[in-house]
Amino acid sequence: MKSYGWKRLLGLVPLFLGITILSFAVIHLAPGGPSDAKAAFNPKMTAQARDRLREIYGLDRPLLVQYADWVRRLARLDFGRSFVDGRDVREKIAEAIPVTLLINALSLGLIFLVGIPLGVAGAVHEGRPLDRVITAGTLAAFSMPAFWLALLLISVFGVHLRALPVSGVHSLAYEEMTWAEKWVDVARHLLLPVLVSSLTGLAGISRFARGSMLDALRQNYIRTARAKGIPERRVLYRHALGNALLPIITLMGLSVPGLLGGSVIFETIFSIPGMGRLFFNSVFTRDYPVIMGVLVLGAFLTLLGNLLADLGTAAADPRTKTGLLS
Amino acid sequence: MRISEGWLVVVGLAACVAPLILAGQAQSMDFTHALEAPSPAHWFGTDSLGRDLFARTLCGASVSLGVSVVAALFSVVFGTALGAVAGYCGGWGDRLLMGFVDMMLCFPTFFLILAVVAVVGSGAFVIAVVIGVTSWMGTARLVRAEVLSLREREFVLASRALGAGGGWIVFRHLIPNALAPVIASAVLGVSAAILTEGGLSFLGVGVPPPMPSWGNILMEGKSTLGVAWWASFFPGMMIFLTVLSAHAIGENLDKRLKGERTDA
Repeated sequence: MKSYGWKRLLGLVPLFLGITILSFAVIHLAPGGPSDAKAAFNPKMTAQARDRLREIYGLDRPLLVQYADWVRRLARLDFGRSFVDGRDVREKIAEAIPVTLLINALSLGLIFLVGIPLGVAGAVHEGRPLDRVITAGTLAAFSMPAFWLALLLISVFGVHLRALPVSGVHSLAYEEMTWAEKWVDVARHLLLPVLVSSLTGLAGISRFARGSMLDALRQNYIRTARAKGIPERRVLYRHALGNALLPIITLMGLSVPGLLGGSVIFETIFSIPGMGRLFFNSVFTRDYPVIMGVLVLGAFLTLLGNLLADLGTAAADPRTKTGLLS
Repeated sequence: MRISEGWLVVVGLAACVAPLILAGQAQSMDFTHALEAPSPAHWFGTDSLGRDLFARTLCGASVSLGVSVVAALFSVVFGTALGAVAGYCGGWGDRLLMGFVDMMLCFPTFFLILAVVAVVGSGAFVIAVVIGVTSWMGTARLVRAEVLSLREREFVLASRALGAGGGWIVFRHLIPNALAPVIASAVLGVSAAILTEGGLSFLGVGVPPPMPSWGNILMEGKSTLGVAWWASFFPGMMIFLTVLSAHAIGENLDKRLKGERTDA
């Protein structure tokens, strides 16, 4: 197990290098480079000032040198300073990341706790009304534009019923609340964002779980189990479900980039001060150090998700380690 | 399935015809009729500038569908070419190309698209290209797997024995034979692109107004959400129904193709 883990970790090194190269390349596609963009937003910027800026950020040096320098600083987790307010990018990201991770973790929990049972129920009742309803419902949820759903929910619960808050993560009076009130307050604020951000993933997982469970039910060992006279419940939930769940572990790792990407939309709609909104704002102000930092961090989190999923699969299924399953 | 195909045909026709007939109406402002609820005169109501939302939504269909189809085309062409080359060459080139695919998959797509838009600016065509360039990885993997199994077949050997070169074999023999599953993924790609375009335009970094797209009509509707539900309801409904139809058709195609394979 240990050596397998190391091997997987080592395999990530070239991938991570590639990620940094691509992030760097995307930003330096800009005609005139990042310093021009900053200058364009500031009417007081003179030619001399711009040259000084280029010197400070090292933008007058060859691209390869710039890249090497950037990666060296990246290795020390130094993302540079924001173009907009001059603050440490690391600080800005550190402020934004907890709420994003919280919402994504809650969504992931909801996706798996609701999505898998739905899919399994569909597979167990294949072709019957319950299955049809679940299949149609998940297809609809999968096609739902999240931003539209968010607007509808805001319109119904926020504007017309005035039942739920629709922006931020806590109320203005948050500081004066007792801890129980704080909990309720945050939960009320996060209810709609978590619902919106998990819907697409939930539908996707449930459709996948249904297919995976159907595949498992068609295997010979299920027929054997039934022939031996094992009760149907045990066949379904012990013999079939265990094997059907294996590929879902991998899917969990794969759903990380989707969730992170989606956070741009719902954090903007619900005004949640997380990583998605930070990224969106920095795109608008052409704040390149922040853009690059979040881009690399997002890819890093995805890699981490994939790695954890692989290790999880390896722990659950010894065949992956020895390469018997390819 | 009939309903979903019918809906796509209707929306497709509207996308082709609407800009010819309704383009003027979609842009003409009338402040005496601003924010009117749906009525026989304005089927989808009017927006805050008094523009007819029915005309705008239909004209938006041509922009949204156009962007999505172009994006899906880009992603299919790019993915098929890279996947076929990787599968045919094998070895070093294959590993490099597939490493590139893995790397692209690590980026949250929406982040990557926004970053590119930040650098090169927005516009209908730019958005289409950017969506295409960030969504070809699935197709590439699909085609590579197809080509890997096809290249060992006798007809490829026969073609090589007749003196055919690598390019000829890849583009005349392997790609046409690997194309069946790509069609299903292209349809699903269109539906995904509609959602992405909608999301980008909704955030204000997609198709720039006053050119109407479903996403930016929604964005403009957002500011009048409390008083005019119709301004955000109808364009969203169009996105939803169109994506739903494309999904249903794509999955049906996929299932039928897979069914054929296991039967054969």
